[in-house]
Amino acid sequence: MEKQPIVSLRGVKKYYGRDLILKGIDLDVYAGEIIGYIGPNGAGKSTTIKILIGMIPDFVGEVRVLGYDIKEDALEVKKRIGYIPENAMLYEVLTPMEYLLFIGRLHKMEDALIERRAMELLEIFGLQAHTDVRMNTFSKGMRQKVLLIAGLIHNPDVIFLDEPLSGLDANAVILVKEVLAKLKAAGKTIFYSSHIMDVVEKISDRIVIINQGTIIANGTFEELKAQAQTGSLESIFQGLTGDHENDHRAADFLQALR
Amino acid sequence: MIKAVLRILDATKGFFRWLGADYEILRHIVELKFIMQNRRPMAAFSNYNSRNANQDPNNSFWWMVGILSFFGLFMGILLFVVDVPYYAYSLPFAYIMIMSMMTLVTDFSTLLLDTTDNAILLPRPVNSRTILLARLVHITTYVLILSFGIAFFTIVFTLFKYGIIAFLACIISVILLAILSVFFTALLYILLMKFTSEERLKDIISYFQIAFTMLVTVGYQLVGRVFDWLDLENLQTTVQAWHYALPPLWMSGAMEMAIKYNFSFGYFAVLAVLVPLASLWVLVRFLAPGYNEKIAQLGTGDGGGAEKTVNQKRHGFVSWLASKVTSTPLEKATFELSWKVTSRDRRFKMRTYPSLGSLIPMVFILGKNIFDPSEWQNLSGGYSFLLIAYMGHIISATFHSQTIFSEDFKAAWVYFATPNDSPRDVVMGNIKAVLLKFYTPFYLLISGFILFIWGPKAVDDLVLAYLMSWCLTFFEIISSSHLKLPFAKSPAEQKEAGQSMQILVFLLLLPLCGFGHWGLTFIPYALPVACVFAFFLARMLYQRYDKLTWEKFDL
Repeated sequence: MEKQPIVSLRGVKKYYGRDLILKGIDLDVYAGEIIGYIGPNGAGKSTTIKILIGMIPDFVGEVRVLGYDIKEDALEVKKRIGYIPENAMLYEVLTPMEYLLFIGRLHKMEDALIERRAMELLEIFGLQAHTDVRMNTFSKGMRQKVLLIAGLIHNPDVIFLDEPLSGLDANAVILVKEVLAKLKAAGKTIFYSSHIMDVVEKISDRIVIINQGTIIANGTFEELKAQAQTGSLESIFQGLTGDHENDHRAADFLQALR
Repeated sequence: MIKAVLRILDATKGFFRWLGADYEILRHIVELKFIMQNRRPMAAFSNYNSRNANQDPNNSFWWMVGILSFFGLFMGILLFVVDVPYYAYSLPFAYIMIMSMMTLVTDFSTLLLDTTDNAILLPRPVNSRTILLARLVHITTYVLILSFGIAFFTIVFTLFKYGIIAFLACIISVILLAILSVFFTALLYILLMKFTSEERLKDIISYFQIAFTMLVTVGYQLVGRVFDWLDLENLQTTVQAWHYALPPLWMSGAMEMAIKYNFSFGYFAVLAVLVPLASLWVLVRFLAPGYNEKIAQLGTGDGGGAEKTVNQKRHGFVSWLASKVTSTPLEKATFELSWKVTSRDRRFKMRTYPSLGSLIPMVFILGKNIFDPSEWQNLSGGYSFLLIAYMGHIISATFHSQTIFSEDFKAAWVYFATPNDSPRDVVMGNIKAVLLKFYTPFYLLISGFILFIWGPKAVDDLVLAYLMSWCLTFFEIISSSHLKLPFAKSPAEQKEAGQSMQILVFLLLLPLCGFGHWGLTFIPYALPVACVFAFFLARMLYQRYDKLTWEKFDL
């Protein structure tokens, strides 16, 4: 029996001005999967995610999320997905509670429900003492936690994370990993982008590697590793996992200090 | 107050639904915008409440409306002084328009160009029409509250003096003015966005902010003098052709018609009503959608975005100059740092240039005659130019005291992490940069002006005043009890920082030098001799810096 993909991209291209950032992406994501979307900086990861969540409507190709065409029914998609952006963009003059209330209201949730969830989630992340403190004094990690909560507060079915661990301390990283595993167990689909293999290899069912706007590999971590031994994948893979080449670089570094 | 605005919105719920907005969400966004508006420190008035800069502002918006309506009070009094409405109203109306446009440009830039909005709102299930309408509602309410704040006293006085019809006409005029202001500001933004990038735009806006703060500082010094300038006895209502180009005059013309039933002002009234309505239509129909699209593009791009990287030349005039005037590598480093930071840091400019604005009124007060060419003949006999020459010292002092502060004050750890045993280089590099970059060009400028009027006999005076200013600067810094490193203090501490030495120099030494100099002019050949003395005094003070130790620093 053939499963319907939750997210599907067909020939997605995106120009910024005259630069082609995405050069035809084809990808299917199925229900309950955790996809690790890996690539070096500037590969087009964030752009892909922004297209998937309907933030960038002017692209070429076809994108369906949860069965809806993103160009036609962006609103329906947005109701059912969660998005956690990379650069901690939030209204920092607000308190976490005010911000979460606002976000929840945009999703038309009841105030009581938002408050209950926000309280509990803030407590889990150890922010209960900061519930009513304006966020301009928050560290990057604290903001990232608030963003995580904001992305999940409406209990979405599909979750897009763009470098969600940047700025988090080690404990929070472990916590987020656990949370992602639990979300997967609850049947959520997770699309996770990062420029390092590290965390991704442990939690992802499938890893997709993107480089310069093209998908160059797609499979489990073991499969990719096997491929990397032989093919052209080698250098990029090493760049992402950080194996051999860094030895050279470190040696060169020392040379330059001479 | 926010609640009142929301009530009014609630009453027009149907209208927004009809426009295609999701009213519940629109209401939430507008409410949030007002909350945030109130907590954001107002750029325009940062001078007035920097004392409690550490506290989070809570009612900054209402403070601002309060201050503006206080200024508006003086404008309103004009109604009782000038009996011709056409003139009496022109000033408050012009004031409303300038103020609301300026605040729109300055304090609103954060909101108009806010790309956080995109990052936060676009991934949520909110349609773009709702966001657009929420923005428009917010801006319109903001400008209306502001305009009525400024016009408050004018409107009240109108009711007293001219009765109910004029009162209503005045309210309508203020609304029409507000619409025009929004239109012109939007036009300005769209033009700017067409021709410049996002980074550049922020720069341009900060220049507006500087200009605005200067205007406010100068403005309220000048309000009192307006009455001197007006020739109250011979006021004639003659309409010049160029009056038709000034929107505030349309409104005051309309007021003239409403009060005196002088129907020769009918053209003005027609313009006053038709133009704002037409511009409103253009705004909603053509400008707003395109504008929103532009804004949406600003934030979403992450690759080919609008940000332009600036490549700085590694060796330029500055490093050449630095190698000429400094003696050690550390001094050179500080000199270059100070020179570059002061030209690149937008926030430094925001803090410093407006404080220069407060010099302008001084020039007006002290040297009224200077701007009148017919007076120049009389002036050239005396020595009043010494006043200007010595006032130039304030420039160097102001800039120097500002170079102590920086938003990146934490970066000052490098002074401590690097092995430098003599603080002299750090302090001296900074002083030299300030004196050469800010004081000297300014001084050359006023010297040019002085030489133009007083002729070459002023040369030795100018040289002496220049040298004395160096002496004063050296003296002021080395004698202060707590020396500070450049760019090492948070601007929040600005008010607490003891500047007693600066005050001493301003109030005592500066006038003393000025009068002493004036005294010397009566003794033949005293000036060249004094110049030599001043030079050696400067050298002596300069050498005292060699003995500077870390103990004297307030770290």
